[in-house]
Amino acid sequence: MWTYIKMLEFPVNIKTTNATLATAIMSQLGGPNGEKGAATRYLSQRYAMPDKRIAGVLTDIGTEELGHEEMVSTIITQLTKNLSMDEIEKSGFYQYYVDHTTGIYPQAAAGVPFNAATIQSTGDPIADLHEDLAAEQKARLTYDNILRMCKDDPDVYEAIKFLRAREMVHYQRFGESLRMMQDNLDSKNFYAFNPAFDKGETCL
Amino acid sequence: METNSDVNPFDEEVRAEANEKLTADSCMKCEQQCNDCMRPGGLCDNRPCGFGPNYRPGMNPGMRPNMRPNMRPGFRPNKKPVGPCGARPCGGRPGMRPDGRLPEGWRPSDGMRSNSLGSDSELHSEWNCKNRMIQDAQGRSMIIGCEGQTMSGCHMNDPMDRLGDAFPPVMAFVPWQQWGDLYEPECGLKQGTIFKDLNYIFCGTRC
Amino acid sequence: MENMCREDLMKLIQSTNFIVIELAMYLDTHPECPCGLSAYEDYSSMLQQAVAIYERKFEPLTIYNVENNGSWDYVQSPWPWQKGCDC
Repeated sequence: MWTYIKMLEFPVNIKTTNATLATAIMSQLGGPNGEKGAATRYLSQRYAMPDKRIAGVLTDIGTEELGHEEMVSTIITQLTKNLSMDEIEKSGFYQYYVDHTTGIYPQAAAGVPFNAATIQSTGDPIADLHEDLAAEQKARLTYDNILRMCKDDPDVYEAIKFLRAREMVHYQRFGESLRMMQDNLDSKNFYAFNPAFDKGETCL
Repeated sequence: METNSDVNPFDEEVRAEANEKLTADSCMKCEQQCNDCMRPGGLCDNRPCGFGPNYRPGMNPGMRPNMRPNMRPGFRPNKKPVGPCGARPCGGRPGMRPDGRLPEGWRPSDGMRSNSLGSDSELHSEWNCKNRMIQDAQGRSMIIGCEGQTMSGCHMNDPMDRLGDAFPPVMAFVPWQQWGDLYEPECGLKQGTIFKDLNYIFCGTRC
Repeated sequence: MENMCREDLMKLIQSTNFIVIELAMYLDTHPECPCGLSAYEDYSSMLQQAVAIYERKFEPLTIYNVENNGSWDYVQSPWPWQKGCDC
């Protein structure tokens, strides 16, 4: 069950339109390292997480990622709101415009539609948490790449900086989740069985 | 214990110096980020850690009537046995010997916080290649040298060995975050985290 | 808090809401930390207070607690993405 709150997690008020920047930032909505993938990944993985605290981490971070989807979509909406036809045709944005006008569609910067093949939910807590740690790093570096592009627009820069900082905090929480998982397992052999699947151990 | 590091990680002076360096770095970072903050001085206010906006001087840090006196931030009680069919799998909890003693090389917790290795402006800080402090879930710590830079051959003298069985191979470990200083609310929102310890800003440029 | 203008109160709600999110996530992995628990207690009660005032004086933030003013106020105010874009 979810409840919508009619506000953004972080305020977004962009005054200057920028079609090229919008095309790049779009990747953090529907791209391989984007927020839609992140939310889908964590909210899917939690059903195979035996530790209640870690299921809580996945739920809370997954929920926050939904809020980040809304932030990124807002950034794109405001960056393209009042574009002239001339700006659309001269920037790379026309390729998006022809199919989606200035609506929001989840795709990568290069135009590949959102694809769940970029995420995993393995049913193995240790593998899932490693996937999550990697996912946060991939999102972090994508935000690094975007930050280099928007130094001249403080309105966009502040929002992207915020989103980037969240990836670091999430990384820390997934790292701690992995430590909790390790505490549940045998430190002599963390891989003796899958705690989300096996009912017992046999040592042959 | 043999080691090819010329610094004795258990030397009190080395620890004091490391501690001072960590404090200085985090303060510098804090002041830098203070400058553009909405509330001047907001990052460096005098509210001790663990207090929300209702702090009044003289309040007891984080203690509540139902807390046991020896509880500290990050304290976690022993968990119930877990594992398939309710049985705890064989082997002990990482980092703890069966008799509860510290593994060799560990120092007991002194409340020192984790991370803050180097400052943001020093992307290639010398500090990163000298000594760093590592810490486990209980806040126990030790200083280790940067053996990865200097060792050759079979890594026989890895200082991580001194951790006993706390960090076995074939597994990734992230240190536990220890409770530390918080940013003021508006500042925290601007920085993207309320925890000063987790704020690693991006400084890269390319012509 | 009672006398704050709409913008200031919204700023306060956003920053307090953020702290509550952050502390909740911290407590997921540090469920026994007294510092985290006491900070959470302070900020979440402050958030509840601020939201109650904002919803009473300005506009509903959720579909809960929408007052009956003869019309459905929830859809009268702009959506978050519509703010600040001169529309």
